[in-house]
Amino acid sequence: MSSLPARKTGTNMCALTLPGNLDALSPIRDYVKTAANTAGLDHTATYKLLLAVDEIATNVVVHGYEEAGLQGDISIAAKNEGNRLVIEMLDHGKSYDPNSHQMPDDQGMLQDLSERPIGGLGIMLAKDGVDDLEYHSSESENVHRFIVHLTPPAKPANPVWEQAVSDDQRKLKVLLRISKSLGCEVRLDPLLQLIVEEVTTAMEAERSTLFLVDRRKPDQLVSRVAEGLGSKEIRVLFGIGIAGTTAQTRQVINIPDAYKDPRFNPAFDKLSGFRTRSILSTPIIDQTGVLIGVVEVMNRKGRAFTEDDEQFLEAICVDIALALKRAEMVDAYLQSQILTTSLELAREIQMGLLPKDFPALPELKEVDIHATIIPTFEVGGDLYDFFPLDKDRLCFVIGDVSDKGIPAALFMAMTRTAFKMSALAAPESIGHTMARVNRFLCDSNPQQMFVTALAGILDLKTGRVEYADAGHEPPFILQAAGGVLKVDKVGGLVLGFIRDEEFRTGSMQLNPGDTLVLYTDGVTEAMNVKHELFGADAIEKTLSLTGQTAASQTIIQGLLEGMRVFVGEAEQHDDIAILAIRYLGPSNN
Amino acid sequence: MALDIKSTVDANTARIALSGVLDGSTASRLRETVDKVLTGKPAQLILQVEQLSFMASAGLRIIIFAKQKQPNLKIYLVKPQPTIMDTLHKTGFFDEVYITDVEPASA
Repeated sequence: MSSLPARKTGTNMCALTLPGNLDALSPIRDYVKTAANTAGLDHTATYKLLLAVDEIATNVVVHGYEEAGLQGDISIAAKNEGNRLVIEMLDHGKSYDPNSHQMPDDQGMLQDLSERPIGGLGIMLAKDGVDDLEYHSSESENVHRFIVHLTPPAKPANPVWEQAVSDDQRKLKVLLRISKSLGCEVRLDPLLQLIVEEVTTAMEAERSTLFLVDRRKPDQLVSRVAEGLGSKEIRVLFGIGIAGTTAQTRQVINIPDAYKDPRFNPAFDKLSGFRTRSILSTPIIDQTGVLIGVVEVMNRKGRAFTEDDEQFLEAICVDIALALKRAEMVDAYLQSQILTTSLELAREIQMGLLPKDFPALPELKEVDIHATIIPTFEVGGDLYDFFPLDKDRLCFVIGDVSDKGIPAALFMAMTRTAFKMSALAAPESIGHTMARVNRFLCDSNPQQMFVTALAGILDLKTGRVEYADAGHEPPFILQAAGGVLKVDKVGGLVLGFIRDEEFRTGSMQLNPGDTLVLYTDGVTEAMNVKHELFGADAIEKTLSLTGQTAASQTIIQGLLEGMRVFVGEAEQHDDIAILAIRYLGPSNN
Repeated sequence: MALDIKSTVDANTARIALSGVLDGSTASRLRETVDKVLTGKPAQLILQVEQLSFMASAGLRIIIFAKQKQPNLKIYLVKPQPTIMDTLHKTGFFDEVYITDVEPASA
């Protein structure tokens, strides 16, 4: 057996390198024994270190080299670092991580020897023999480091202080890790799970439950995650049980023996088969002082929860509060994105109700019609419509629901549909149509909304218009002969107010080339930054500047352009609709 | 340091006296010896280990080997050193073998 003599140089020893076979075990032990003696280890510590190194060296030789069909050296070097002795073992065999190797479990221990599986024992002895067994492996080599602490961990002179410092350091490390870990998760559901896991580990406990204040029922806690119970929901009223009391009083509750505490409800234990011993229950309060939830930690391993544990959990709860807040904000943002998408769909549906393809009704040679609608939000309450009643008559309407947004959009859709149905069903008089629509809206209007509207029937042969007014803005006629006429209001109440209201009708004459321009109050009430209104006069003026022979589309564009110049940077605050009907004169057929 | 093995077998008792080091390199020889002494199915195996200075898990495996070969076998360890006792304790073998300071008589 060849072995190189181990030579002492200062606190380090020269490395010993041997062929990786079982004959290396004995010289390796001799080497380690010398290092241990030099470092001043006692007999037992030396033996345990020898055993640890021997077990790993055996594994390296047997599994790393021989069983893998490999050959190579095994090197060992000792370093005395003052407060610890480090034995470094290096080999080039197959990687074999002792920390991932299965250790015999308690059950295995209790098994009869004849039934016990072989393996794991050596690793167990190796890990038991030293304070730390580190391992790392690269392509070129595997390194085991056996570390034995030389100074006793707690000096008798000041043991409490030292313990406190190392405990504080551990807690600081745990806090930093939790902070980092929670900071990486912005999705709410996985975050809840993560919090439960992190808290359980950090508090060295067996289980944790996270309760959140139910936003819809703010006197209730709801637990969406309970480790071991799956995603089952637990509800707790404020003031009831441990968590409920924590929520109500916002005080930490530390219970060493749950079954002796009257506030403890053993029902959950019965359901889950879990046996609760100690409980630490802490409120989670955000930066603005609002209670977000409660975290309950169960069964501190080895002992009950201490005052230090209380403070530590409170510190963790600061991180939890921040993480929860952030996740809730992200969640709210995502929800708003979903709502935006729904609104866009609603807008498409609403716009689909109105005729939007221009030139419209190309079969009617007597008219040139154009219209536009610009809601303030995605959906709005303005409406317009036009459709032939028969071959000689065109019916049209413009309206404005008293609100904006989704409620207005729903009422607008109802109004538009009711109007078209009524007009087509009984097309004799626009006044009667208006009255029927009014009755219908009055009967289905729990929100007390109303609609202003102006509707008419144009006789395509004569250019005569019969119209009814339900509290709407008076239209203008841009005359082919030059000039702009404001149509007289005939008077009439807004739709949806009084069920049996009668609607008078008025009439006006469109000459060939004349354009009837209808609009909603979004045009007259368009506001500039100085809070001045565009007004009916400006419409009249803008129209008068438009050429008398302009097409209906050009007229609307001109009006919008005039408004745009007037409004400038100011925000649109009301829905805008404009309908322009240019009467071209009777058709020849 | 090697392992010195001396074995004797009478009617129902096998005796092995060990001296030196029981590690991965010497365990195979002991295993052969154990295999041999158990051929006659003795009731007990008495390991005299007072002179055994080191025992790795390879030694524990031989105890397992013996038990697997003959489940009803009584195994005695006579005068193990404290460090080896410690290993037996830690690994749960302490309850599986008989530790004694006096070598038992043949059964």
